[in-house]
Amino acid sequence: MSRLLEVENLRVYFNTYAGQVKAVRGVSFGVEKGETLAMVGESGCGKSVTAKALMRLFERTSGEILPESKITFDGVDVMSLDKKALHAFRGTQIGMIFQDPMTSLDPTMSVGKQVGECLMIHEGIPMKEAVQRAVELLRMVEIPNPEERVKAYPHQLSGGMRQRIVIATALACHPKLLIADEPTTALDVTIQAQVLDLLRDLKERLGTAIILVTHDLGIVADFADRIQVMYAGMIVEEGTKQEIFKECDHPYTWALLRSIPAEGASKKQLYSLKGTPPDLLLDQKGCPFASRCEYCMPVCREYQPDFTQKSGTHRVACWLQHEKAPRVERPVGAGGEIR
Amino acid sequence: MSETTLLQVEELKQYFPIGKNRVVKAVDGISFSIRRGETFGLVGESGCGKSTTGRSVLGITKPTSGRILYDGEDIASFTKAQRMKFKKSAQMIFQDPYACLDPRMTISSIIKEGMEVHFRYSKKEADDRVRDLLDKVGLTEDYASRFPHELSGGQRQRIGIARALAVEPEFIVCDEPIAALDVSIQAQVVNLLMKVQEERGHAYLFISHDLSMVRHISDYIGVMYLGSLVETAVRDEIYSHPLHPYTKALFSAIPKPDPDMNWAKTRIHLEGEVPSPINTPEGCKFCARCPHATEQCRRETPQLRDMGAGHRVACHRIEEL
Amino acid sequence: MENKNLKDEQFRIVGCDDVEGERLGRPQTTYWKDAWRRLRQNHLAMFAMVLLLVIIFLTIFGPAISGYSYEKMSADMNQTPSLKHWFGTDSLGRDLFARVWAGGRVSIIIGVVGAVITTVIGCIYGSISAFAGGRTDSVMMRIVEIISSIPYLIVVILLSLMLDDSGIGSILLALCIVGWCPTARLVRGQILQLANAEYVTAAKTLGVSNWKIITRHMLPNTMSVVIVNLTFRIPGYIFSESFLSYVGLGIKTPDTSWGMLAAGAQGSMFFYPYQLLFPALMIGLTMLSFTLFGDGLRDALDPKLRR
Repeated sequence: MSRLLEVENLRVYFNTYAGQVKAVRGVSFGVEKGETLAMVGESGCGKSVTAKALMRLFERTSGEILPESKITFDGVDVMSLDKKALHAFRGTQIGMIFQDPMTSLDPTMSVGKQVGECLMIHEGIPMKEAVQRAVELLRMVEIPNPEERVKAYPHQLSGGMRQRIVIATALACHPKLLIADEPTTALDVTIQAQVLDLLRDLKERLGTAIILVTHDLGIVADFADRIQVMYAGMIVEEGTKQEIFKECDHPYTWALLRSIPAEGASKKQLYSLKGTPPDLLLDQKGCPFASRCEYCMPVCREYQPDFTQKSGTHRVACWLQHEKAPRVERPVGAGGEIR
Repeated sequence: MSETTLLQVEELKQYFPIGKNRVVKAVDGISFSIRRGETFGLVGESGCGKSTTGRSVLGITKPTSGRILYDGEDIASFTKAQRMKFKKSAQMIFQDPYACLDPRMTISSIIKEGMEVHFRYSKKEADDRVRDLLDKVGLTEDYASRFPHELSGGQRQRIGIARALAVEPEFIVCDEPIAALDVSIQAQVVNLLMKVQEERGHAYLFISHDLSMVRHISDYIGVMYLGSLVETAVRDEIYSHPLHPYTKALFSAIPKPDPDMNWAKTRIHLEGEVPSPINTPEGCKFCARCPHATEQCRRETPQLRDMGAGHRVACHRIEEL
Repeated sequence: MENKNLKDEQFRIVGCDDVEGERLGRPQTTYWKDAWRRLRQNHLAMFAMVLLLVIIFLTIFGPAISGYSYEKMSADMNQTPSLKHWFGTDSLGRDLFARVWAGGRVSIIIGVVGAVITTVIGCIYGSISAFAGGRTDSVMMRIVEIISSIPYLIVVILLSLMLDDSGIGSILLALCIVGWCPTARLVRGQILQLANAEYVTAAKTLGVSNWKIITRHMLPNTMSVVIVNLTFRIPGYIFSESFLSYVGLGIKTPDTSWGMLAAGAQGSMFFYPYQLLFPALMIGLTMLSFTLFGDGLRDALDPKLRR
């Protein structure tokens, strides 16, 4: 199999005071070499947890990846790695960019050491050389005066610069996959545009596959190759960018696209979903979206829908795809305009 | 001053001293006005002073200089009775739905808080009002006895709206009311804000960095950069013909949800980042990042100039561009 | 898609009604109920609480259960623990079981009352300082710093010389004179933090009076921190009292306390170790229980941990 990453039936549960939060409920997907997969959905839909679970980042916290989950990365079974192998795996195979650049940098460490740290640990090169390499990496992420900046500390840098440092750190050991968890949410629009340009450029130059976790459909439309729409811990629809924006078939995807304010249609009521996402503490019977879906059918409350394969890349989990279901016209047109 | 002007801000400056000889010029001389029943959208990047403006306008922070006229009266010279009336008339909706509700109070007592100050309701009347308000914001009366931590972010934000509406205000400052919410919940809150405005006809100062939502809800828009207002105009005018180089760059930096558009090619690439607002020098605030900056821009601070139809821009080189 | 024998009528669009998505999934709880629930799940804290209740019960009824008076001497001197004298007797033939619990009374009263008094003083002082702000605030805080820089042992020695009477009262006075300072700092910090909370700003824009903001928002929200602080301070006071009595600055005979008992047993420690063991054990157990219970309480009351 040529896929870089293969995830099967991933389940992540969190044990809390109130009970077990079933954050990710049986997710299966894959990532090809060099492609960009976007995970979109609202907060609490499990997109971020899914991404973090790929590196088994929940060990020793309240989170638990259930044993039936299977994660295969480049032929390696991630779930069976022991502590040492997992450590090496995290550092060299997958890089990660978090939402808040300030918390993912160590405030007491100079930028150069921070970027070089990964090289020192995983490639065993001495500190001096690592800092040298760090200068190169800073140049790669287009930081002006990299020779000067390696000596700086995180608080001396602006938000956009910090996020560039985080990107440089994540890419230091040439990972095959980069997980970007809301990489630009904490940044202003003009800075966001700069960081996205940088990521796009790096992707083309280095051929790294990227998993982009975001709630912003604008970024997705610009940046992703494939899109995976998540709701309440499950994937509801998956397809290429064109398929999701133009031929999507899940009512939740429709709702997401319709709630973007259209240009020119001002002061009118926006399309909005009713209610709030389901409580992940509770067990789910039927389709997770049923309670907010305007096309809800009795069957949706009874059984969880299976995936219907619409094309080689496009699949959707909705009872509307069933042969007995009524035909519903897609309320979203090309380019996401409201009809 | 025209009959219908509700709020007029004149040369508002808000400086915060930090240590010796260092001043954060959060708001540096801005003027605008809001008419009754109108929504004024204030947009800009973080740290541009838009939230500070919102707080000054409500008298939460005392301005360093400048005047704020509410209904023709300077809010700095209010008598006690006038101040109470102002507090009934002008309200605020906050950004963080988690921090804006007291975790120890029930929803009903949160909503009643303002009513108890400004109205003399009996217990039953107050309970009825709470029920009406909950209904108005789309929640059932079951919520009255609940505590904030039992509610989701969007629901809390609606309680925040109900609390503001409880005193029947004429003017509401919405300080990034949707920034912390999900897309589908943002739409709920914006719809609610527009619905109550239609019914009650109050004015909004809508502060946000989300340009598409601001465009949707506002009648009039002001763009702020580093404490200054760089451009104001009627909504459609500013979106279709932005004049200031910053406004142009800002608008083009929004990623469009259109898979066919090659956004990276079409947008204006803006170099650098917003400079620090500490001891900003004379001259145009934007000149360090502006591709068209000249010697004049670095020396003289541009004033807002009317370019016709109420479209006002603060840029020296606007005619040439 | 597999067929599950689905009937046609299951495929008609019914949509969803407005309220359904807003349904409240979880049962209603109040803040304190929720905190109690979380506390109950903490087994260690619950164990500590039960232990504390037992100790408190025994300090009240212990002497009566033993059937001996704690101050009455008898001919049975230095008896080892037996059925007749459960904890044995001391060098004057007094029943140790009765004495340990009678002494516990004094220790626990000093611990609890001392902590409560200093907390109240600290709360009042801290909140006045926070509200006054500006110059008053800095003067008040400097005073706190000066007071807390005086070693309390000096204060106690001076006081016991001055008052020339060593009862519960003078020990409490000595402990309280310096003890309120940390609480005052804590409360001041807490209130300054709350003054910037958005819900306080909201109350201000609604025109709610300052007095109401204090009583409605500030105090209830400081409460949990103060209560946790209180439970952590009690063992400190118990230990201070024991320590002072042990070095002879505290309670004087015929009254007794755990510290006194330990001090009295010290001389004959090698011959009658049980005389030292029981009071020392009680001091240790009580302090440990209060600390564990306080720990559990802090976790239970922390709003950040709730879900």
